[in-house]
Amino acid sequence: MIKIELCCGLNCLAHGGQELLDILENDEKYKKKCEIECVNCLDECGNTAEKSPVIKINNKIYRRITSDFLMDLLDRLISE
Amino acid sequence: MEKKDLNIFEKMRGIYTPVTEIRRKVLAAVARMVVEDQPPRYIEYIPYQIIDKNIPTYRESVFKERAIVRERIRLAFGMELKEFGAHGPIHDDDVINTITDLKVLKRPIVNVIKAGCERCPEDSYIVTNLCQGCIAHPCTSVCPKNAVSIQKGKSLIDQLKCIRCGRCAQVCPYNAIAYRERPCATACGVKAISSDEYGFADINYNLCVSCGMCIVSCPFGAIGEKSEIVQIISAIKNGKRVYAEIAPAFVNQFGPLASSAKIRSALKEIGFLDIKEVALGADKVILKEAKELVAILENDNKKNISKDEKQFIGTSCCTSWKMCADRHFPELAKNNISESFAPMVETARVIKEKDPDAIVVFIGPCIAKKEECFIPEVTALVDFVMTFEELVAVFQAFEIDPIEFEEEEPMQDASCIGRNFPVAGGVAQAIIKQTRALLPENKKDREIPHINADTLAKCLTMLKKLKSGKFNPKPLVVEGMACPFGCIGGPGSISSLNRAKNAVKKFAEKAKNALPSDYLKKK
Ligand code: SF4
Ligand code: FES
Repeated sequence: MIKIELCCGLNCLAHGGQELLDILENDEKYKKKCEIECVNCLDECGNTAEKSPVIKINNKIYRRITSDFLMDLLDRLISE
Repeated sequence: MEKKDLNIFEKMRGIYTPVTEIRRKVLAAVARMVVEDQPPRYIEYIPYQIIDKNIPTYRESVFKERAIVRERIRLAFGMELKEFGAHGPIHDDDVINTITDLKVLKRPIVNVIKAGCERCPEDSYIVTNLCQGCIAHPCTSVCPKNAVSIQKGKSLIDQLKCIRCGRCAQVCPYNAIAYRERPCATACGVKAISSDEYGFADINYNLCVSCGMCIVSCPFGAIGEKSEIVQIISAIKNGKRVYAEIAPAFVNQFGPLASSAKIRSALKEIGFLDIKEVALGADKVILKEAKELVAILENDNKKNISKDEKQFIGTSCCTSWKMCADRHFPELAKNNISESFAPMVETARVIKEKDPDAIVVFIGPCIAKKEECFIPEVTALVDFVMTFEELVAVFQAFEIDPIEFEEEEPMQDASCIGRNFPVAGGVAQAIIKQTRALLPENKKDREIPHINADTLAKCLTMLKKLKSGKFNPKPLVVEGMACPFGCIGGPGSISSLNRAKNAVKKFAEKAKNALPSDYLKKK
């Protein structure tokens, strides 16, 4: 299982987090292989758009992650 | 894999683009400036904070990028845009006079930032470089206007002759002919966008109903709306008695963790005295419209209903739809679209009855509500309007995040069907459900035909059909919504459609009362 903690703090959500949430929630593949948790502000964004959205995957923090990067990363982790 | 064709409203929806990013950054920077009490001069630094690179990221030069940001800042302050060619420091305008708790907003709400407009050509068929210059070239044979010819081994469309029938595109074996639409004009359901003499998008304000769909559809972010966040923050800071009324589409807009109670706490922390659900006003509207429908049904047995009598209930909650119907089908609208004011107004009335000094701020997904506030009766009740997107900027400026608050008693101002308003079809359903409850026992099951449309283009088609009597049976409830999928698809919304829809439904189920008549006293 891949452990995902998606920051659902206001800053992350307003700056791309919604899009990540959509992908994680709508794709069966990720739903099956990942344990997805919405969490409070991870205190990594500094309340600015520059560093968000923030996501923690298997305890590793990723900042300003885009959906294409996320999908690619998860696909790789899943196939490992 | 089969991919569904998406319409203009679905294409960029839910994708976080650089256009969105800049829009939100500007709002947040402006809000922060006011919260931090920066001097008016500070405004000139904002473009440099937002475009902070030395090389261009979005356009051909950083100077142009900053010039456009500057225009966005003007809009965020509620100021007029500068005439094209007359760019200058914003500070020269009356910045100081906009940092006030009085209303400064003037029409028009929706504005084209000409400097940012890329002058997309109007809708046309174009030959792409997929064209192989084939021997058969069926494109030339099918054109009824003889507009397609082969030039230098490739097909070429004479735009002056072309009537946009699309036959050539249909027959090309390589799909080499594409239909290129102008995003802003395609999104506009009332055909208010044309070009000025230089080819820049131009809005005809006699037609525009401020729905805001062009704003979210322009891929260059060249259209923007005026905002009132500066005045709202100033009112709070000046210690005015500011109240918020929050539109039913709010559920999930601030994320899955931000419950209604947390949002209320966060708003109170900013300085709002109290928060009411606009669904409360929706309930009042439902009850009123349901009573009107009961009256129509009672009239049913009469043979000849005169033309001036109400024949159906047209919903009245969507400002843009109402304006659009009033303009294009005046008689139909006058007789049949309910006179009741929108839920926003009814809720504001409740607040102002309790506290005559109240300053009421409507928070919703809607831009047209800013326009509605220019109606004199509404001006007296609703002071300011801000969108969810703007509220996020305000939250950020105050460094407040709703989800950090303790869970408390959820909001409980409205009925289940009132809370279902923001999803297309919800208004009609609500009126019907309430009407059935009001009808006498023996008539409860009678059929109540109804229709609904979302997006203005579909609304207009619906009205046209309605006028010529094309619907059978004749609908008794007619719902119109300017935004795709209803208010949840509004230009000021943040959440994705599916999530918003589910969340609204869940929140509605939690309402204590099923129907408005369960708790509102029958007058
Ligand atoms: S879509 Fe945007 S850039 Fe294109 S014409 Fe319309 S306003 Fe201009
Ligand atoms: S809001 Fe996501 S890390 Fe702060």
